[in-house]
Amino acid sequence: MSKKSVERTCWDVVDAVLSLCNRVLLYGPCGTGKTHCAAKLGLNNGQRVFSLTLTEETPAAELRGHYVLKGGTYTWQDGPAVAAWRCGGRLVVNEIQRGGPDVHALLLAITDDPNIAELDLPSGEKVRPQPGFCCVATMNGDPKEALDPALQDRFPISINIDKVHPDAIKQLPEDVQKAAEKTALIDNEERRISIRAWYAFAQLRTKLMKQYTQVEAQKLAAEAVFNSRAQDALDALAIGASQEG
Amino acid sequence: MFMVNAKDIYPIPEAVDSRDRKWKIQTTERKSPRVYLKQSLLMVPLDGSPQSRLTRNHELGHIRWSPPKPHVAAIRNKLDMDVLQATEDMRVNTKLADVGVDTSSGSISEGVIKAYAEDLLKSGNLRNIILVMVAVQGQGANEEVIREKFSKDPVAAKAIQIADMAKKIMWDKGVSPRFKDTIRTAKWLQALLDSAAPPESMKLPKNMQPTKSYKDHLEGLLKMLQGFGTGRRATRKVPWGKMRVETPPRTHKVEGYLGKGRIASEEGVIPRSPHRLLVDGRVFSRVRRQHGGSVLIDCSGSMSLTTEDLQKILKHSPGAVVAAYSGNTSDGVLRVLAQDGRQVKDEFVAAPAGGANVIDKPALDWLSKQAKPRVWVCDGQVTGIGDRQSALNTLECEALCRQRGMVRRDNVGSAVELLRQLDRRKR
Repeated sequence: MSKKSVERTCWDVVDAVLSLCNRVLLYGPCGTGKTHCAAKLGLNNGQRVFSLTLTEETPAAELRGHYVLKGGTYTWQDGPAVAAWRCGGRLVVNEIQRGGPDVHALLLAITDDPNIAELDLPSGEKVRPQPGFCCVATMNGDPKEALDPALQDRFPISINIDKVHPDAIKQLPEDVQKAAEKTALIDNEERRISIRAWYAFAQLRTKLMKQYTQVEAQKLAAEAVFNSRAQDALDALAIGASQEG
Repeated sequence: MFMVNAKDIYPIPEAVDSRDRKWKIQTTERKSPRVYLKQSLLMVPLDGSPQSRLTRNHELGHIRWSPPKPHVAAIRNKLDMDVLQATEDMRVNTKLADVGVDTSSGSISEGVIKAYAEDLLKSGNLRNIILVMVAVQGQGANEEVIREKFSKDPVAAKAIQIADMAKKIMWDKGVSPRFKDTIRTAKWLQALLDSAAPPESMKLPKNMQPTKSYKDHLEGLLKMLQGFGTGRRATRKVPWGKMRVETPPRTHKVEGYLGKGRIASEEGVIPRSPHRLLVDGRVFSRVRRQHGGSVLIDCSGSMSLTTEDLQKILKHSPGAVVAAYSGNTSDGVLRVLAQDGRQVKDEFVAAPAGGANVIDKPALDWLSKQAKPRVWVCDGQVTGIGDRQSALNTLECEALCRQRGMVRRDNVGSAVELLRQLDRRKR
């Protein structure tokens, strides 16, 4: 047996721990598949998923729930957090660092220790998280810099997603996989080319090849997706496809 | 029509780099692009012109194909950095075209490259001319401009031939060349440049100055190299054999002197040693005959030398160190025939070993340590172990001759003529 240890990626860690933990924070550059992973991976049998993307303007009521007018009367409508509590589902909070102070305060309560967590709703009802509840938050950047320390403390398991999810890469044609994997993680926004852009390029190229030659289709697709960087992108693909050294 | 944005166009080094590095990109002028592999820094022009794009692609080519520490490879292979760099540039340019990148525009605008070519020709520095011609190979329009300019100059036209040969050597295997092919080609080029270097530092006596013009010398070298082709014989050096120095007893005394030297004198025109004014007052000097000079004779089969020929050379080299050498399959013997005004017995005046060369370079190393003037009697055919020939071996000997002020004569007749002239020198 080979003594060489197998290199483990962040996604191997996520796969292993996501279904076992009730509070997980996934952080890293955008376009790596954090949201997809939070919503799809490691779900226990039939576990429901409730998602919410925060902005500076998102009120805590949207997360907790509020009264809505239905048939002339006001009825209580659970927000995703309370709904996930009730059914032991998964709450996915995207862009957690963007939430305002009231959202953060509610999140502190929601992500409290399951044994003591409790919430008094405006309807007078008292709710507690059901077994199986878990909260997976995602964010761009470093949580130590962008997240409130108390909230950060609620997520003892925080995983840095520094690689694009292999499934997202596998969806791309082989000739662009390597370039896509690396360019999606470039810090400089002006230079970054997202997985979505590479995917759009690959899709368009395939469709255009029905009408044009391969070279023309490739050029047209690149010009449509990469604009002024089209030729540079195609040249980089050609150079990258050659043997090293 | 596709519109080019006015904003910067960034290359994508991450797409070609096999390592996980965070690249920093800085904008620079087209004439000074750089890639710092260790620092992951790429400095390239970021405008939308085709020349800038080729510049960016050229640097991406270095990221993909060049080693991170080329200077280490240069030191290890005893190559000048500029020679290695020019050869590697040629490889990158030609490889870019091979993978389908458009290189037709060149990386420098026409006006600039024309002015640059004219300046180069004016400078007359053949080394730079050759290196530029090599580096510009595969650069589309730039190569065409340089070719056109150089082809009008008889000496620079040789640079075109050399660059074409270098490209052939690089692509000799028919597959996309790797860095080891750069080293192989750069070694060939380095050997050629060394042996074609103008004899500036030789300080040879007037009658030992090269009779051939520089252009003729270069033409001779090129002719020789063409004979070796572009395959293994052109670029694979054959190791030299082991040399043994044999010094039989020198029992005969020889009258006369070939060398000359200076002796301090009280009379003269130009004071040479002013410090002696307070010592012995002999501040001037005069030339006098003395033991000196050295002659090395190639006794391999191709020279077809007889004992009489060797005696003839010995006769015309009074007071000089005279040695003959020849080789067997993997080693050879250098026999000192005369030294310090004394000569060996006639029975030793013959080829000291077999009919092969094998030890030309070690013998030349020996000659380079002997007194000046140094004469090498050899037809120019040098061989290494197994009596095998290679362009690199020939160029190495040629370069050593030029560097250490050794003059080669093809046959006994011309060697004796030169020795006679040296003997007749004014005191």
